[in-house]
Amino acid sequence: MTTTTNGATSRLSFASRRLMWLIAASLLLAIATLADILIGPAFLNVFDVLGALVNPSGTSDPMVVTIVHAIRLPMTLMALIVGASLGIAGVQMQTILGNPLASPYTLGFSAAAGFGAAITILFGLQLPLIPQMTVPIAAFAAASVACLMVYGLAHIRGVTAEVMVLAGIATLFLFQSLQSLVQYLAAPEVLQEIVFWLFGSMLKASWFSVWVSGSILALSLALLIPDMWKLTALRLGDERAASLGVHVPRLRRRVFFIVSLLTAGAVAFVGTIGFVGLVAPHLARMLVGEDQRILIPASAVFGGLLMVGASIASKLLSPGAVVPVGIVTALVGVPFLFALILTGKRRHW
Amino acid sequence: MLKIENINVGYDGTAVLHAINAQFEPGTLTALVGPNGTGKSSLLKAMAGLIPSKGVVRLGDLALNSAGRLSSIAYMPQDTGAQSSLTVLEVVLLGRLRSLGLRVGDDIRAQAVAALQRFRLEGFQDRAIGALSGGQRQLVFLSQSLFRGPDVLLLDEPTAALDLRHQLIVLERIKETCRTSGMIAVAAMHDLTLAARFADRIVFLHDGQVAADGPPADVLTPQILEQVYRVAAEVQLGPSGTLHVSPVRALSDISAG
Repeated sequence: MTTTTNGATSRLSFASRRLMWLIAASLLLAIATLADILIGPAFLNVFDVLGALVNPSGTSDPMVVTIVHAIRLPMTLMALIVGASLGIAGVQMQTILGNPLASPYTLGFSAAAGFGAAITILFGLQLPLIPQMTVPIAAFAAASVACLMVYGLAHIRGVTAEVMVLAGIATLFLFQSLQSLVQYLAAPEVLQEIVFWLFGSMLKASWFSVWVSGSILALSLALLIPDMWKLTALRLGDERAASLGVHVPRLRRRVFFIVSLLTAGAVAFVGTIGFVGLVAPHLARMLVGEDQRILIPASAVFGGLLMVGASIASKLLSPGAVVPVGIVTALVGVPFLFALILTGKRRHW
Repeated sequence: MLKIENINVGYDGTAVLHAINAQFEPGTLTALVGPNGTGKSSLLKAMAGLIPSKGVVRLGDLALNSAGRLSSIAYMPQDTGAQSSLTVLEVVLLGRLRSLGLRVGDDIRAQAVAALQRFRLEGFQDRAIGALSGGQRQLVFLSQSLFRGPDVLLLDEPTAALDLRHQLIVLERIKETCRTSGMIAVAAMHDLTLAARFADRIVFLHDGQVAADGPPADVLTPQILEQVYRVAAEVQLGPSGTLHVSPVRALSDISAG
C-alpha cells in the first residue's frame, strides 16, 4: 500500500489490510482445526467423522462418536487453547520485557512446570480423590513458585525489564538443573514417563483440561483488554509510556502475573511446548503491526495455527501413531517464519 | 501561569536539585540551559510528575499532585531512537491514551490526522515510526504531545541530534503553538544561540540551582557563561537581531567544572 496525502483513503486501506490478514489467518485456522479432527491414528472415514461431529445421534457406529467426542475434539480444542495461550503469553512477554527473544520460556515458568511434573512422576505421588490431577496441579504449583521467585527478586531490585529477564533466566537454569537431576535419579521406566511429559503431547488432553485451560485463557483476555493501549504505548519505551500516563511498573507487574497464569494453564496439562510462544507473536507482528487491539487476537490465532498445524503433522509423520506435538512445533513453525523474514517488508523490531 | 516552588530532587540520597523556584507565563517558551548533569532533565521530569520530588507545582491557583501533573503537563523525552513498528498515526493517537477505547472514534482519528497535518506529516501516517529519520520522528512525537492539548509542554533537548533545518522547524512549531494557544513550553537545550533566537526567557541551572533567569538579552552575558559553564565566551548581536554565543576557551579542566 502506498501512503497518500488523503488520510481517509490511506487509513482505510491500512486498517483493511490488517483486518484482512487476521481474517485470512482465522479462516486458515478454522480449516486446520477441522482437518485435525478429521485426521487420526484410527483411520476413520472422513464422512463418518463429519457425521459424528454434526449429528452424533444419527451415526450408526458408536465407536466413531466416542473417538471423535472423547478423544479428537478435546485434543484439537486443547491444541487451539494452548496455542492461543502461548501466543498471547509470548506477545506480552516480548512487550513488557522489550525483548524480541522473550517467550513464556524466558522466565523459567515452563521449566518449573516440567520440574513439578517430573518430581511427581518420580515419587509416584497421587492426590487423594483426584489422582489424575496430581501431575497438572504439581506443574501449575511449580510454575507459580517460579513466578513468585522472579517477582520477589524484581520487587526487591525494581520491576524493570532487565531485572526481570535476569531473574527469569536464573530461575530457568535452576529448574532446568532440577529437572535434569530428577531425570538422572529416575529409573528407566519412570524416566520414559517423565520425558514423555516433557515432550508435550495433546494425548494428555481431556474435556476437563479444555475447560480449565479455556477458562484461564478467557479470564486472561478479559484482564488484558483494559490495558491494550497502555501495552501499545510500552513499545515506545518506559519513559515515553510513563510520560503518556502509564504506570509502567504496575502494568509490568500485572501483565507478568497474567502471563504466568496463561503459561501455567497451558503447560500444566499437556507438558512443555516450545517455539509457539516465541514465534507466533513475531508472525502476528509482521502482518498486523503493534496495535495490541489487533496484535493480541492475531498472536492467539497464529499460536493456535502453529499448534493445530503441529498436531496435524504429529499424526501424519508416523501413520497409525501420534508423535508428541512438542517435538514438531518447530518443524511446522520454522518454514512459516523463514518465509515471512524473506518476504516481509515491515520493520517489526 | 505555571509556578514551581522549592522543587527538590535526589537520587539514592544525593541531592540533584535544591529548592528550585521559577514561574512561566502562558504563551511563552522558556529555555532551560546549563552544563551536563546539572539537573535539567530531572527538573522537567519532576515538574511532569514522573519522578519523586519535593515542592509544589502550581498551574494557575491549583497545586498539582502527580496525577494532576500527568494530565495537564505533557513531557517529551529526549529522542533515543524508536525501534517500534507502531505507525505514525498510532503514535499520535497514544497522546490521548486515557480517552482511547477498544474502538477509536472517527472524530478522534480525524483530530490525530489533523495534528499530523500541522507538520505536513499526514502522508507518513501508516509508516512505522522506527523507519523515520530522527527529524521526522521528533516532529511525530511533537505532534503527539500537542495532540494531547496540554496546558504545559516540557521538552527534553527537542533539537538534539537534528539537522539545522529540523532544529528550526521544531522550535518554530513550538513557538507558534505557544503564541496561538497560550501553551507554556519549557525546553531543556544546549544550543545557546538557538535558545536566544526562540526563547522568551532563559533559565540557567548550575549545580542543581538557578544561576540566572531572565530574557536572553539580560542573561546571556560572558560573566554568566563563565560562572555557569567555566568558559570564556563572546556574545554578539547578529545581523538578524539575534544573539550569537561563541565559546572561546575552557577556563579550567573538566573535573574542576
